[in-house]
Amino acid sequence: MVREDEQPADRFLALLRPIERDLEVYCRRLVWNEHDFRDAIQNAVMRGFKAFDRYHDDTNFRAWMFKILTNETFALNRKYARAAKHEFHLDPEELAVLPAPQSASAETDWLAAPGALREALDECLVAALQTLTDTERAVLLLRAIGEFRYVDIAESLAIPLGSVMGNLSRARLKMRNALQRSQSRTAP
Amino acid sequence: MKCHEIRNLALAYLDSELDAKTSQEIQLHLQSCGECAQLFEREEKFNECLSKVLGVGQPTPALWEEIESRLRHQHRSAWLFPRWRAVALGSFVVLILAGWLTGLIGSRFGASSLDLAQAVVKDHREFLQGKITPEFKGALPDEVAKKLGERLDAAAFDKIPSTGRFRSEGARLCHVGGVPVAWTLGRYDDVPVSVIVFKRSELEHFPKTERRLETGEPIVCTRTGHFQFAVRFAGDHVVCAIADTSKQTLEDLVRSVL
Ligand SMILES: [Zn+2]
Repeated sequence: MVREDEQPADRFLALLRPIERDLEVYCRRLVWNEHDFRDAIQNAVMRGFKAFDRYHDDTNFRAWMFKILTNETFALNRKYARAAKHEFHLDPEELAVLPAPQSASAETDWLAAPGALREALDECLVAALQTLTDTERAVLLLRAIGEFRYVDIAESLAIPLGSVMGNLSRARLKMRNALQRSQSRTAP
Repeated sequence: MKCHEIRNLALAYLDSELDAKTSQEIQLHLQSCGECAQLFEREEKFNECLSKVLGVGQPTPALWEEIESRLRHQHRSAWLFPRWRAVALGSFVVLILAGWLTGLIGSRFGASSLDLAQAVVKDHREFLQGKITPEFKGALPDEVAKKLGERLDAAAFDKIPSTGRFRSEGARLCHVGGVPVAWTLGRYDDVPVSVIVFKRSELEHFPKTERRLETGEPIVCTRTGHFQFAVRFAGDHVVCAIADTSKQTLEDLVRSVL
Protein backbone atom coordinates (compact mmCIF):
# COMPACT_ATOMS: atom_id res chain seq x y z
CA MET A 1 0.00 0.00 0.00
CA VAL A 2 2.61 2.51 1.07
CA ARG A 3 5.05 1.22 -1.49
CA GLU A 4 2.51 1.58 -4.24
CA ASP A 5 1.61 4.99 -2.95
CA GLU A 6 5.17 6.28 -3.06
CA GLN A 7 5.38 5.76 -6.79
CA PRO A 8 4.02 9.05 -8.18
CA ALA A 9 6.38 11.14 -6.04
CA ASP A 10 9.30 8.88 -6.93
CA ARG A 11 8.45 8.95 -10.61
CA PHE A 12 8.06 12.71 -10.53
CA LEU A 13 11.37 13.21 -8.71
CA ALA A 14 13.20 10.86 -11.05
CA LEU A 15 12.16 13.07 -13.94
CA LEU A 16 12.73 16.30 -12.05
CA ARG A 17 16.23 15.73 -10.69
CA PRO A 18 18.11 15.77 -14.00
CA ILE A 19 16.61 19.13 -14.95
CA GLU A 20 16.80 20.92 -11.58
CA ARG A 21 19.94 22.83 -12.47
CA ASP A 22 18.61 24.05 -15.79
CA LEU A 23 15.29 25.05 -14.25
CA GLU A 24 17.00 27.06 -11.55
CA VAL A 25 19.49 28.79 -13.85
CA TYR A 26 16.64 29.62 -16.23
CA CYS A 27 14.44 30.99 -13.48
CA ARG A 28 17.19 33.10 -11.91
CA ARG A 29 17.69 34.83 -15.25
CA LEU A 30 13.99 35.21 -15.93
CA VAL A 31 12.78 36.82 -12.68
CA TRP A 32 12.72 40.58 -12.29
CA ASN A 33 13.41 40.41 -8.59
CA GLU A 34 16.15 37.97 -7.64
CA HIS A 35 14.39 37.20 -4.35
CA ASP A 36 11.46 35.71 -6.25
CA PHE A 37 13.22 32.79 -7.83
CA ARG A 38 12.69 30.41 -4.89
CA ASP A 39 8.97 31.10 -4.81
CA ALA A 40 8.72 30.71 -8.57
CA ILE A 41 10.49 27.35 -8.51
CA GLN A 42 8.58 26.04 -5.51
CA ASN A 43 5.24 27.10 -6.96
CA ALA A 44 6.10 25.56 -10.31
CA VAL A 45 7.21 22.22 -8.88
CA MET A 46 4.13 21.95 -6.67
CA ARG A 47 1.90 22.84 -9.57
CA GLY A 48 3.65 20.32 -11.78
CA PHE A 49 3.30 17.60 -9.19
CA LYS A 50 -0.39 18.34 -8.63
CA ALA A 51 -0.99 18.06 -12.34
CA PHE A 52 1.27 15.02 -12.68
CA ASP A 53 -1.65 12.62 -13.04
CA ARG A 54 -2.49 14.43 -16.26
CA TYR A 55 1.06 14.06 -17.49
CA HIS A 56 1.60 11.32 -20.05
CA ASP A 57 4.83 9.55 -20.79
CA ASP A 58 4.81 10.78 -24.35
CA THR A 59 4.82 14.38 -23.14
CA ASN A 60 8.22 16.05 -23.03
CA PHE A 61 8.63 16.45 -19.27
CA ARG A 62 11.42 18.98 -19.66
CA ALA A 63 9.36 21.23 -21.93
CA TRP A 64 6.33 20.74 -19.72
CA MET A 65 8.16 21.85 -16.55
CA PHE A 66 9.81 24.80 -18.30
CA LYS A 67 6.38 25.92 -19.44
CA ILE A 68 4.94 25.74 -15.92
CA LEU A 69 7.96 27.55 -14.49
CA THR A 70 7.72 30.27 -17.12
CA ASN A 71 4.09 30.92 -16.19
CA GLU A 72 4.87 31.01 -12.47
CA THR A 73 7.76 33.39 -13.01
CA PHE A 74 5.70 35.67 -15.25
CA ALA A 75 3.04 35.75 -12.55
CA LEU A 76 5.59 36.98 -10.02
CA ASN A 77 7.14 39.41 -12.51
CA ARG A 78 3.75 41.01 -13.02
CA LYS A 79 4.12 42.53 -9.55
CA TYR A 80 6.79 44.77 -10.92
CA ALA A 81 4.77 46.06 -13.88
CA ARG A 82 7.99 47.38 -15.36
CA ALA A 83 7.70 45.67 -18.67
CA ALA A 84 4.80 46.80 -20.77
CA LYS A 85 2.74 43.87 -21.92
CA HIS A 86 2.19 43.91 -25.63
CA GLU A 87 2.05 41.38 -28.38
CA PHE A 88 4.96 41.28 -30.72
CA HIS A 89 5.03 40.97 -34.45
CA LEU A 90 7.87 40.55 -36.86
CA ASP A 91 9.51 43.82 -37.65
CA PRO A 92 11.30 43.25 -40.97
CA GLU A 93 13.19 46.50 -40.78
CA GLU A 94 14.66 45.69 -37.43
CA LEU A 95 15.44 42.15 -38.48
CA ALA A 96 17.18 43.29 -41.62
CA VAL A 97 19.77 45.19 -39.66
CA LEU A 98 22.42 42.81 -38.46
CA PRO A 99 25.05 44.78 -36.63
CA ALA A 100 28.04 45.51 -38.81
CA PRO A 101 31.33 43.79 -37.93
CA GLN A 102 33.27 45.76 -35.34
CA SER A 103 36.50 45.23 -33.48
CA ALA A 104 36.68 41.48 -33.60
CA SER A 105 37.68 40.60 -30.05
CA ALA A 106 35.26 42.87 -28.17
CA GLU A 107 32.54 40.44 -27.09
CA THR A 108 34.44 37.19 -27.00
CA ASP A 109 37.00 38.47 -24.51
CA TRP A 110 34.55 38.51 -21.64
CA LEU A 111 34.13 34.77 -21.79
CA ALA A 112 37.72 34.11 -20.84
CA ALA A 113 37.49 36.68 -18.05
CA PRO A 114 38.47 35.36 -14.61
CA GLY A 115 37.14 36.10 -11.10
CA ALA A 116 36.31 39.69 -10.40
CA LEU A 117 35.85 40.54 -14.04
CA ARG A 118 33.46 37.63 -14.32
CA GLU A 119 31.38 39.06 -11.50
CA ALA A 120 31.31 42.45 -13.15
CA LEU A 121 30.26 40.67 -16.30
CA ASP A 122 27.41 38.97 -14.48
CA GLU A 123 26.19 42.36 -13.33
CA CYS A 124 26.33 43.60 -16.92
CA LEU A 125 24.44 40.51 -17.97
CA VAL A 126 21.71 41.07 -15.41
CA ALA A 127 21.45 44.70 -16.44
CA ALA A 128 21.35 43.73 -20.11
CA LEU A 129 18.63 41.15 -19.47
CA GLN A 130 16.55 43.83 -17.80
CA THR A 131 16.40 45.79 -21.04
CA LEU A 132 14.37 42.92 -22.47
CA THR A 133 10.64 42.39 -22.18
CA ASP A 134 9.37 39.29 -20.39
CA THR A 135 8.65 37.56 -23.70
CA GLU A 136 11.99 38.46 -25.24
CA ARG A 137 13.82 37.24 -22.16
CA ALA A 138 11.87 33.99 -22.00
CA VAL A 139 12.45 33.23 -25.68
CA LEU A 140 16.16 33.97 -25.38
CA LEU A 141 16.57 31.85 -22.26
CA LEU A 142 14.40 28.97 -23.44
CA ARG A 143 16.69 28.75 -26.44
CA ALA A 144 20.02 29.34 -24.63
CA ILE A 145 19.42 27.35 -21.44
CA GLY A 146 16.49 25.10 -22.31
CA GLU A 147 17.92 24.42 -25.79
CA PHE A 148 14.40 24.15 -27.14
CA ARG A 149 13.43 24.33 -30.77
CA TYR A 150 11.41 27.29 -31.99
CA VAL A 151 8.20 25.21 -32.20
CA ASP A 152 8.53 24.16 -28.55
CA ILE A 153 9.17 27.74 -27.49
CA ALA A 154 6.12 28.89 -29.43
CA GLU A 155 4.05 26.21 -27.70
CA SER A 156 5.45 27.03 -24.26
CA LEU A 157 4.69 30.72 -24.50
CA ALA A 158 1.53 30.33 -26.60
CA ILE A 159 2.84 32.68 -29.28
CA PRO A 160 3.13 32.21 -33.06
CA LEU A 161 6.32 30.80 -34.54
CA GLY A 162 7.09 34.08 -36.31
CA SER A 163 6.85 35.84 -32.99
CA VAL A 164 9.48 33.51 -31.52
CA MET A 165 11.93 34.55 -34.23
CA GLY A 166 11.09 38.23 -33.88
CA ASN A 167 11.53 38.17 -30.12
CA LEU A 168 14.69 36.11 -30.29
CA SER A 169 16.29 38.41 -32.81
CA ARG A 170 15.32 41.52 -30.83
CA ALA A 171 16.54 39.92 -27.62
CA ARG A 172 19.95 39.06 -29.05
CA LEU A 173 20.32 42.48 -30.60
CA LYS A 174 19.45 44.21 -27.32
CA MET A 175 21.84 41.95 -25.41
CA ARG A 176 24.62 42.68 -27.86
CA ASN A 177 24.05 46.42 -27.64
CA ALA A 178 23.79 46.44 -23.86
CA LEU A 179 26.90 44.31 -23.44
CA GLN A 180 28.85 46.39 -25.91
CA ARG A 181 27.85 49.55 -24.05
CA SER A 182 29.01 48.14 -20.72
CA GLN A 183 32.15 46.79 -22.40
CA SER A 184 33.08 50.21 -23.73
CA ARG A 185 32.45 51.73 -20.29
CA THR A 186 34.71 49.25 -18.50
CA ALA A 187 37.40 48.98 -21.18
CA PRO A 188 40.62 50.87 -20.37
CA MET B 1 18.40 35.15 -52.67
CA LYS B 2 19.89 38.56 -52.13
CA CYS B 3 22.26 39.47 -49.31
CA HIS B 4 19.59 41.14 -47.14
CA GLU B 5 17.26 38.15 -47.51
CA ILE B 6 20.07 35.84 -46.51
CA ARG B 7 20.88 37.98 -43.47
CA ASN B 8 17.25 37.97 -42.37
CA LEU B 9 17.52 34.24 -42.04
CA ALA B 10 20.85 34.24 -40.20
CA LEU B 11 19.32 33.51 -36.83
CA ALA B 12 17.15 30.63 -37.96
CA TYR B 13 19.98 29.26 -40.07
CA LEU B 14 22.45 29.30 -37.19
CA ASP B 15 19.86 27.73 -34.90
CA SER B 16 19.35 24.96 -37.50
CA GLU B 17 15.71 25.86 -37.80
CA LEU B 18 15.52 26.11 -41.60
CA ASP B 19 14.49 23.43 -44.04
CA ALA B 20 17.24 21.61 -45.90
CA LYS B 21 16.69 23.42 -49.19
CA THR B 22 16.88 26.94 -47.74
CA SER B 23 19.86 25.95 -45.59
CA GLN B 24 21.70 24.74 -48.64
CA GLU B 25 20.91 27.90 -50.53
CA ILE B 26 22.37 29.97 -47.72
CA GLN B 27 25.42 27.76 -47.51
CA LEU B 28 26.09 28.30 -51.20
CA HIS B 29 25.67 32.05 -50.81
CA LEU B 30 28.10 32.17 -47.91
CA GLN B 31 30.72 30.39 -49.98
CA SER B 32 30.61 33.13 -52.54
CA CYS B 33 29.88 36.23 -50.42
CA GLY B 34 32.64 37.21 -48.02
CA GLU B 35 30.67 39.99 -46.36
CA CYS B 36 27.73 37.76 -45.43
CA ALA B 37 30.09 34.99 -44.38
CA GLN B 38 31.87 37.34 -42.00
CA LEU B 39 28.58 38.56 -40.55
CA PHE B 40 27.34 35.05 -40.02
CA GLU B 41 30.56 34.00 -38.38
CA ARG B 42 30.42 36.88 -35.91
CA GLU B 43 26.77 36.30 -35.24
CA GLU B 44 27.42 32.66 -34.54
CA LYS B 45 30.29 33.45 -32.20
CA PHE B 46 28.23 35.98 -30.28
CA ASN B 47 25.28 33.63 -29.94
CA GLU B 48 27.51 30.86 -28.68
CA CYS B 49 29.14 33.11 -26.10
CA LEU B 50 25.82 34.48 -25.00
CA SER B 51 24.27 31.05 -24.55
CA LYS B 52 27.31 29.91 -22.65
CA VAL B 53 27.35 32.79 -20.15
CA LEU B 54 23.59 32.70 -19.70
CA GLY B 55 23.77 29.01 -18.89
CA VAL B 56 26.43 29.37 -16.18
CA GLY B 57 25.22 28.60 -12.67
CA GLN B 58 24.84 25.93 -10.01
CA PRO B 59 21.65 24.77 -8.33
CA THR B 60 20.97 25.61 -4.66
CA PRO B 61 20.93 22.22 -2.86
CA ALA B 62 18.95 23.50 0.16
CA LEU B 63 16.17 24.74 -2.09
CA TRP B 64 15.76 21.43 -3.87
CA GLU B 65 15.95 19.45 -0.65
CA GLU B 66 13.18 21.57 0.78
CA ILE B 67 11.11 21.11 -2.34
CA GLU B 68 11.65 17.38 -2.26
CA SER B 69 10.60 17.00 1.36
CA ARG B 70 7.57 19.21 0.87
CA LEU B 71 6.61 17.18 -2.13
CA ARG B 72 6.78 13.94 -0.19
CA HIS B 73 4.88 15.45 2.73
CA GLN B 74 2.20 16.79 0.44
CA HIS B 75 1.94 13.40 -1.11
CA ARG B 76 1.39 11.75 2.25
CA SER B 77 -1.26 14.24 3.27
CA ALA B 78 -3.02 13.72 -0.05
CA TRP B 79 -3.11 10.04 0.76
CA LEU B 80 -4.50 10.73 4.22
CA PHE B 81 -7.09 13.15 3.00
CA PRO B 82 -9.97 10.76 2.25
CA ARG B 83 -9.64 9.14 5.69
CA TRP B 84 -9.43 12.49 7.41
CA ARG B 85 -12.51 13.62 5.54
CA ALA B 86 -14.45 10.55 6.62
CA VAL B 87 -13.52 11.13 10.25
CA ALA B 88 -14.31 14.83 10.00
CA LEU B 89 -17.66 14.12 8.40
CA GLY B 90 -18.44 11.66 11.18
CA SER B 91 -17.66 14.13 13.91
CA PHE B 92 -19.47 16.86 12.01
CA VAL B 93 -22.68 14.80 12.05
CA VAL B 94 -22.21 14.09 15.75
CA LEU B 95 -21.55 17.79 16.38
CA ILE B 96 -24.69 18.82 14.52
CA LEU B 97 -26.76 16.29 16.43
CA ALA B 98 -25.27 17.33 19.74
CA GLY B 99 -25.73 20.97 18.87
CA TRP B 100 -29.30 20.48 17.80
CA LEU B 101 -30.04 18.55 20.97
CA THR B 102 -28.50 21.11 23.27
CA GLY B 103 -29.49 24.19 21.31
CA LEU B 104 -25.86 25.21 20.96
CA ILE B 105 -25.56 24.64 17.24
CA GLY B 106 -25.16 28.32 16.40
CA SER B 107 -22.21 29.07 18.61
CA ARG B 108 -20.36 25.76 18.04
CA PHE B 109 -20.70 25.88 14.32
CA GLY B 110 -19.87 29.57 14.17
CA ALA B 111 -16.66 29.10 16.09
CA SER B 112 -15.39 26.22 14.00
CA SER B 113 -16.03 27.90 10.65
CA LEU B 114 -14.36 31.14 11.66
CA ASP B 115 -11.41 31.79 9.45
CA LEU B 116 -8.12 32.42 11.19
CA ALA B 117 -7.51 35.80 9.59
CA GLN B 118 -10.95 37.09 10.47
CA ALA B 119 -10.54 35.83 14.01
CA VAL B 120 -7.20 37.52 14.41
CA VAL B 121 -8.03 40.87 12.85
CA LYS B 122 -10.57 41.68 15.59
CA ASP B 123 -7.98 41.33 18.34
CA HIS B 124 -5.33 43.14 16.32
CA ARG B 125 -7.69 46.13 16.02
CA GLU B 126 -8.10 46.08 19.77
CA PHE B 127 -4.34 46.08 20.14
CA LEU B 128 -4.15 49.16 17.91
CA GLN B 129 -6.85 50.85 19.99
CA GLY B 130 -4.92 50.07 23.15
CA LYS B 131 -7.63 47.71 24.42
CA ILE B 132 -5.22 44.77 24.37
CA THR B 133 -1.86 45.32 26.00
CA PRO B 134 1.09 43.00 26.68
CA GLU B 135 0.97 41.00 29.92
CA PHE B 136 4.70 40.56 30.23
CA LYS B 137 8.01 41.26 28.55
CA GLY B 138 10.94 38.85 28.19
CA ALA B 139 10.79 35.37 29.73
CA LEU B 140 7.46 33.69 30.34
CA PRO B 141 6.45 34.33 34.00
CA ASP B 142 5.44 31.31 36.11
CA GLU B 143 1.91 32.57 36.76
CA VAL B 144 1.25 32.72 33.00
CA ALA B 145 2.97 29.37 32.42
CA LYS B 146 0.62 27.77 34.97
CA LYS B 147 -2.41 28.88 32.93
CA LEU B 148 -1.20 27.24 29.70
CA GLY B 149 -2.66 23.76 30.11
CA GLU B 150 -2.20 21.08 27.48
CA ARG B 151 -3.38 23.02 24.46
CA LEU B 152 -0.54 25.55 24.45
CA ASP B 153 3.12 25.10 25.35
CA ALA B 154 5.70 27.59 26.60
CA ALA B 155 7.74 27.09 23.38
CA ALA B 156 5.02 28.95 21.48
CA PHE B 157 6.15 32.16 23.20
CA ASP B 158 9.68 31.70 21.86
CA LYS B 159 8.49 31.78 18.27
CA ILE B 160 9.09 35.39 17.44
CA PRO B 161 10.50 37.03 14.28
CA SER B 162 14.29 36.94 14.20
CA THR B 163 14.66 39.86 11.86
CA GLY B 164 16.29 42.93 13.41
CA ARG B 165 13.53 45.09 12.01
CA PHE B 166 11.05 43.56 14.46
CA ARG B 167 10.89 44.85 18.04
CA SER B 168 8.76 43.03 20.57
CA GLU B 169 6.74 45.15 22.99
CA GLY B 170 5.70 42.15 25.01
CA ALA B 171 3.38 39.19 24.90
CA ARG B 172 0.24 37.74 26.40
CA LEU B 173 -1.88 34.63 26.48
CA CYS B 174 -5.05 35.03 24.43
CA HIS B 175 -7.83 32.99 22.87
CA VAL B 176 -8.62 33.19 19.20
CA GLY B 177 -11.77 31.39 18.10
CA GLY B 178 -11.54 29.35 21.28
CA VAL B 179 -7.92 28.38 20.65
CA PRO B 180 -5.28 29.39 23.21
CA VAL B 181 -2.47 31.33 21.52
CA ALA B 182 0.80 33.06 22.34
CA TRP B 183 0.29 36.62 21.22
CA THR B 184 3.35 38.82 20.74
CA LEU B 185 2.78 42.50 20.15
CA GLY B 186 5.48 44.45 18.46
CA ARG B 187 6.60 46.77 15.71
CA TYR B 188 8.20 46.15 12.37
CA ASP B 189 9.85 49.38 11.21
CA ASP B 190 7.39 51.21 13.51
CA VAL B 191 4.35 49.46 12.03
CA PRO B 192 2.37 47.68 14.79
CA VAL B 193 2.34 43.91 14.23
CA SER B 194 0.63 41.04 16.00
CA VAL B 195 2.39 37.69 15.91
CA ILE B 196 0.18 34.77 16.91
CA VAL B 197 1.48 31.27 17.61
CA PHE B 198 -0.44 28.14 18.52
CA LYS B 199 -0.13 24.38 18.34
CA ARG B 200 -0.45 22.76 14.97
CA SER B 201 -3.01 20.32 16.40
CA GLU B 202 -5.36 23.28 16.95
CA LEU B 203 -5.43 24.22 13.29
CA GLU B 204 -8.52 22.07 12.72
CA HIS B 205 -10.47 24.95 14.25
CA PHE B 206 -9.61 26.99 11.18
CA PRO B 207 -10.44 24.62 8.32
CA LYS B 208 -9.99 27.15 5.52
CA THR B 209 -6.47 27.96 6.64
CA GLU B 210 -5.76 24.30 7.29
CA ARG B 211 -6.82 23.26 3.82
CA ARG B 212 -4.55 25.84 2.21
CA LEU B 213 -1.53 25.04 4.34
CA GLU B 214 -1.96 21.31 3.87
CA THR B 215 -1.78 21.64 0.10
CA GLY B 216 1.83 22.66 0.58
CA GLU B 217 1.60 26.42 0.21
CA PRO B 218 4.66 27.56 2.20
CA ILE B 219 3.07 30.80 3.36
CA VAL B 220 -0.62 31.46 3.04
CA CYS B 221 -1.53 35.13 2.73
CA THR B 222 -4.78 37.01 2.65
CA ARG B 223 -5.96 40.58 3.05
CA THR B 224 -8.64 41.54 5.53
CA GLY B 225 -9.65 45.13 5.07
CA HIS B 226 -6.41 47.09 4.97
CA PHE B 227 -4.58 44.47 7.03
CA GLN B 228 -2.28 41.88 5.53
CA PHE B 229 -2.33 38.45 7.10
CA ALA B 230 0.26 35.66 6.62
CA VAL B 231 0.51 32.21 8.14
CA ARG B 232 2.85 29.23 7.93
CA PHE B 233 3.88 26.09 9.74
CA ALA B 234 6.95 26.28 11.96
CA GLY B 235 7.62 22.78 13.27
CA ASP B 236 4.79 21.77 15.60
CA HIS B 237 3.40 25.27 15.62
CA VAL B 238 1.39 27.53 13.40
CA VAL B 239 2.80 31.04 13.15
CA CYS B 240 0.80 33.92 11.81
CA ALA B 241 1.13 37.68 11.70
CA ILE B 242 -1.08 40.58 10.88
CA ALA B 243 -0.24 44.22 10.18
CA ASP B 244 -1.11 47.17 8.02
CA THR B 245 1.73 46.51 5.59
CA SER B 246 2.63 44.85 2.30
CA LYS B 247 2.37 41.14 1.56
CA GLN B 248 6.11 40.98 0.93
CA THR B 249 6.93 42.54 4.30
CA LEU B 250 4.66 40.22 6.20
CA GLU B 251 5.95 37.16 4.34
CA ASP B 252 9.50 38.14 5.27
CA LEU B 253 8.48 38.66 8.86
CA VAL B 254 6.71 35.32 9.17
CA ARG B 255 9.55 33.55 7.36
CA SER B 256 12.03 34.93 9.90
CA VAL B 257 10.35 33.12 12.80
CA LEU B 258 12.69 30.30 13.78
ZN1 LIG C 1 25.83 38.25 -49.20
